[in-house]
Amino acid sequence: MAKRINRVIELLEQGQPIYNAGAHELSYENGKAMASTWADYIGVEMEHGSFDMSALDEFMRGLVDGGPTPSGHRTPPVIMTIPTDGTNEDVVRANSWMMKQALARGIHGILLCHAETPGAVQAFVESCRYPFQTVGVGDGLGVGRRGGGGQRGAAHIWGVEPDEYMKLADPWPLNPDGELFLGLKLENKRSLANCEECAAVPGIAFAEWGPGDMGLSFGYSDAHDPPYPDDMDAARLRIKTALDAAGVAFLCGWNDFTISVEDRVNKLMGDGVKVLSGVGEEGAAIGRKITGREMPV
Amino acid sequence: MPKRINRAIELLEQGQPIYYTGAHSGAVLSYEAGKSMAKTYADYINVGMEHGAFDMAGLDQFMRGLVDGGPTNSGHRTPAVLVEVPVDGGSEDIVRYNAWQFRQILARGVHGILLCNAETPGAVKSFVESCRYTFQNLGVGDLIGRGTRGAGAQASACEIWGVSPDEYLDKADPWPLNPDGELLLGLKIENKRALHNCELSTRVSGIAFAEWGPGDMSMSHGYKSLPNPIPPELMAARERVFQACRDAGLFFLNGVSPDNVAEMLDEGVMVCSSGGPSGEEAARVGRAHSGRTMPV
Repeated sequence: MAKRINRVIELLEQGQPIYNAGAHELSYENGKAMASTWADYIGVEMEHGSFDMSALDEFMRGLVDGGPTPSGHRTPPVIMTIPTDGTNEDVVRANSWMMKQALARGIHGILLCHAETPGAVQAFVESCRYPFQTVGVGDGLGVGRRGGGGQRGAAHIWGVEPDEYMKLADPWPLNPDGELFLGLKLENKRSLANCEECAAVPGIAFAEWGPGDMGLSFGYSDAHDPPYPDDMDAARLRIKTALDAAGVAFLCGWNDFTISVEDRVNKLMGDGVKVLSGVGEEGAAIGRKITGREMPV
Repeated sequence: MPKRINRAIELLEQGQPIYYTGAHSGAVLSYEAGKSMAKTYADYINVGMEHGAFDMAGLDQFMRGLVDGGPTNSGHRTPAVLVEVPVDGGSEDIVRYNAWQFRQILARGVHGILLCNAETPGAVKSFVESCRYTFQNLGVGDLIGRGTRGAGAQASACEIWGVSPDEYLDKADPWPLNPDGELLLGLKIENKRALHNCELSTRVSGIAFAEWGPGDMSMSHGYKSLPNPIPPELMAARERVFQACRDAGLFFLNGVSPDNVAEMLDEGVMVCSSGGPSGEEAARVGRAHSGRTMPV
């Protein structure tokens, strides 16, 4: 019996690492097919992928109709990267409509790309919160800016009443009862310079160091995968340290294909990674065994 | 025989209240849905894209369906369509950065736009300017600058309106600022920040109507939804927005039901939210109350 709507939050509360897979096609049929995915959450990529809200609607409907999951959840959680960059507070406020549109589809979290300043992160969190929520307001956050009107459709995806949805659609762990999972990509030199302040903004649950973009920012045309140059290694370490200090889970992959999947999983776990990316179904099975996962997959 | 392209404006000119259908989200934007709604009881269709999917291809299909399902019983080529745009009116800059949304939406041939969370007069000014072609002169220099809507889409929008591209360019301007204009622009004054500036925001030239957005206004005051009975601070917010509309000569939008529509009309409500199961009945009662003659 599921305790939460958002499976990844439930797992992280149990101290379990989580694993992701991407949705490469946004259709009703693919939603139905992915309802029983091996992954703990589905990443929907709209930083570069088509910003197609109607297709996301269809995908989410398919997830509901294909569910429940073997873990007993109505759907797997869906976490989306949005098109806007987190360049500064003004850019995020000007594009806050993207957060509103995405959340109205019933997704369970958002990942802000190129999160460069704490003001951008603050505007991001505020854009995802309803104004009546009070936890953290005045303590690093202003009042929420998400407007009413999209709760009915989103509530249907979550399987709750609109009133209940509005109560639960708040960032965790800032709000212990919240079901939204908000994350950051600290993925360029400007983000790196501000990573300690960005990670400390209330409402953020996880973050990554985005090695592909971080590499570009350092002048490498392709430094996505290890072994990394010293400046990249230092960037990774600085971001991980910032996240640890802020209590934010680290999302990371380790695409060193000269070693086994098991060794890659062990490397990530040894580094304290909580959101393991790019290890696939096989790596997830290995990792779950290591951590004594009980929740059915 | 209709006198105008935009049925809602034609009715308001006759002193008749108007009724709309369409929720904040969940609109089915397909050719078939458009065809089936061409003879709707409502005077205009509200397409919610604040929270509803921002889907321009879907809106294209919907508008095509309206044309093919028409004309309406009132003789208009289509019912009027107003869209709640995704961007909030948080500031002048925010609206300017997102001016492309107005351009995209208007290019589909819709008849008006509603700006949500219209918080500052600067945001409203840039909203109006974004919806106007640069060659229009009325009101320019008097609280609004020159229009910023670019050319290029008139050939497709005019097909929905049933006019030539040249005629579309002349008519796609906000009414009543431009008496010959066919665009109906509105505001949602729906949070504390918007309320604070409502007297200034409603005075910006080019706006025809406004509402007080009780759902969002309630949240902004710390309530999860509109309490029943409505507390004094929210009643005061409604009255302040209503008074600002009266003073600025704007029409006021409010929800109505069959039971309260006559009272609302007597109070001065002219744009009626009449969706839901009893929406058509509310419109019927209201039209009888106001002596409506235009066929439905």
